[in-house]
Amino acid sequence: MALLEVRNLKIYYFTRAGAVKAVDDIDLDIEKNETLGLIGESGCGKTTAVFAFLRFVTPPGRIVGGKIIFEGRDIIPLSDEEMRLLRGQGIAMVFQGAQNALNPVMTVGNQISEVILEHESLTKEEAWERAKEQLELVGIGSERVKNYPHEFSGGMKQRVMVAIATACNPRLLIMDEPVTGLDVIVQRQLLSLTNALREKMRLPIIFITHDLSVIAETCDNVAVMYAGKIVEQGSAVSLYKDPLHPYSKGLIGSYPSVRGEKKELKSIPGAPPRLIDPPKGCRFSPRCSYAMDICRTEEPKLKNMGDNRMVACHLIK
Amino acid sequence: MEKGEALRVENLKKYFVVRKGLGGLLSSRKTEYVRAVDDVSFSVAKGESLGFVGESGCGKTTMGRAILRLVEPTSGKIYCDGIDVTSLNKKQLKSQRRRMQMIFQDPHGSLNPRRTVSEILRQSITIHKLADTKAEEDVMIKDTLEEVGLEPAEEFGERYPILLSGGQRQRVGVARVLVLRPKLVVADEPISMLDVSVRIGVLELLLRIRDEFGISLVYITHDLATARYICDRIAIMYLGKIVETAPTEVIYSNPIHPYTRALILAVPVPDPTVKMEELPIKGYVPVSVTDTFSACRFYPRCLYAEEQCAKEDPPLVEVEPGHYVACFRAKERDLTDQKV
Repeated sequence: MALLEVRNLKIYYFTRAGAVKAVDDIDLDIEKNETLGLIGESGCGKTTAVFAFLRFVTPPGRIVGGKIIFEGRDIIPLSDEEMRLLRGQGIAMVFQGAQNALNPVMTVGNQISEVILEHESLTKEEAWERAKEQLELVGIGSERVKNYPHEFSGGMKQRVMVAIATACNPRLLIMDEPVTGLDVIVQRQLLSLTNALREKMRLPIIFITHDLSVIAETCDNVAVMYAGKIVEQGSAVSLYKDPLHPYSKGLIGSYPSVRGEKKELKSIPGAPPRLIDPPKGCRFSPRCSYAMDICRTEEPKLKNMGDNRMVACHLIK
Repeated sequence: MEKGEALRVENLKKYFVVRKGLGGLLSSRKTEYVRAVDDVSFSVAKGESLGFVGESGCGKTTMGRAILRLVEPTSGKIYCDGIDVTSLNKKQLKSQRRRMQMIFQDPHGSLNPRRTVSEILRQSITIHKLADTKAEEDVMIKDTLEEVGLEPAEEFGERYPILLSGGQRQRVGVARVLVLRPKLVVADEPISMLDVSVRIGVLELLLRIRDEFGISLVYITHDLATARYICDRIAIMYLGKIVETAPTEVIYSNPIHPYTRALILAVPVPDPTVKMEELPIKGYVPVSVTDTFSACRFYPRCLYAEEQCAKEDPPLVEVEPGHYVACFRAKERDLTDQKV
């Protein structure tokens, strides 16, 4: 049994203009010790999907269907109190934009120990000690436990976020665009840290990003999302070497690298569709140069290609 | 100024005064400065694109704005198309601005939300009095929109920015500049806020207008991977200084300055079979650099630093044709024999 099983998950935002199908019928499995990268452009539903794993979807958004089974238990019908206990200890999250996610008027030590006190029956002093250990763990000296967020640089704030998220030894960690907006050198230091943590704590991680190269450096498996759907899934090595879906191909073909020969880059024509009224059939068909008649009428199902590969495209037989 | 040069910058400096507050004013402490841009010189040929790459806070944006006098330089000379920009008065500067334009990072924030696309372009035309009649303006607007790939032009001209995607908005940003037929365009991170799949389209557009209209481009970015595709030459900046400059492919194949090497190694590679390497750098970018510095700016983070590096500021020296490095140890083998 997988650690997290997502089945037919649908999340819609009910706006005055109509229902925005942000996540439309996705399946996903995360095994223990797996690092999964969820990749897609802005507005493809990747953040909405993982917000649902923590039941953070708020009106006008609603989970309209499907199951999210964490350690054998569907979390959608759980009470708010049960959910509160699960967050932090079961599933924890590092949010996008650490700058805004930290409380500016609380010391980082208090912010870390707050989480620990919420979940474990420790005294304040014990929690404070744990907070120091957490700071050491993410490579910040424990002497900075009394500092406020504004005394840290962007990369260090993001480290504090990781320290908070891992304070209660969660069994699954979600990182939403953890390195977006950080400078490359700081970004690399943070990626090395997460790789080290993941090995040390044997922590399964879901990485959400729009950056193909970040996933390549950290993840075992990749799921590619487009317009609320998962269009392709597989191991990072096989997917990068041999992308099957035209969208994955386009994404990889448009991504520059600093190493090796300078390859020709190709853009994908058009822009992602509006999800109030997504295109009929395959949602990528209006931008796809291989689109056939069937692509415009019938939606392709995710097909298992063996060797962990799944792809949703009529071209792939 | 040499022939064929569109822009020449000599010893450009921009210092910002550190505000001291009331206590500081009363005490006799001397004024402190942040040296955002410190003695930068370079030139850009006609139709050439020069990339400035560096981390946040290295002064690249301030430098780009200082070139156009959007911030007043503290000292230094800027010649654009043969004219000394630093000596112009306000009125002269306004007419000169037509020849030097800027494309901004945020396509959402840099367009007036209450004007349609054609009104935005028309404003540029009227300010610089480029057309005599409204019909003439309409033709210019239509041609420019088609030039940047916003077709049908009539339809896009009627739209407000909110109805455009990020990529289309940035195309409007390019159109607004292009309609003036500038000689020099400073593009400050023009694609960093766009989705990956549409970035290449905007880059190709910039390259096309550069070639078609002979525009010189100063391209400011933190992204070494995309800089490779648009720049002829690259200058690496660290804390207000150019530390290395070379033709683009040379920077990637033979980086010499320890900072450049770390920067290139740090860029993640979209290939899962490539393993992350240890970076040849230590510490963090200092939060601010005030004027207490008279050493190589990089030496506290450098693994190769020697005594001299802590005492003197290394000048930019040519190590091979067109390749300049500001490092005392640039010519030593132990820096360059490790392949990046």
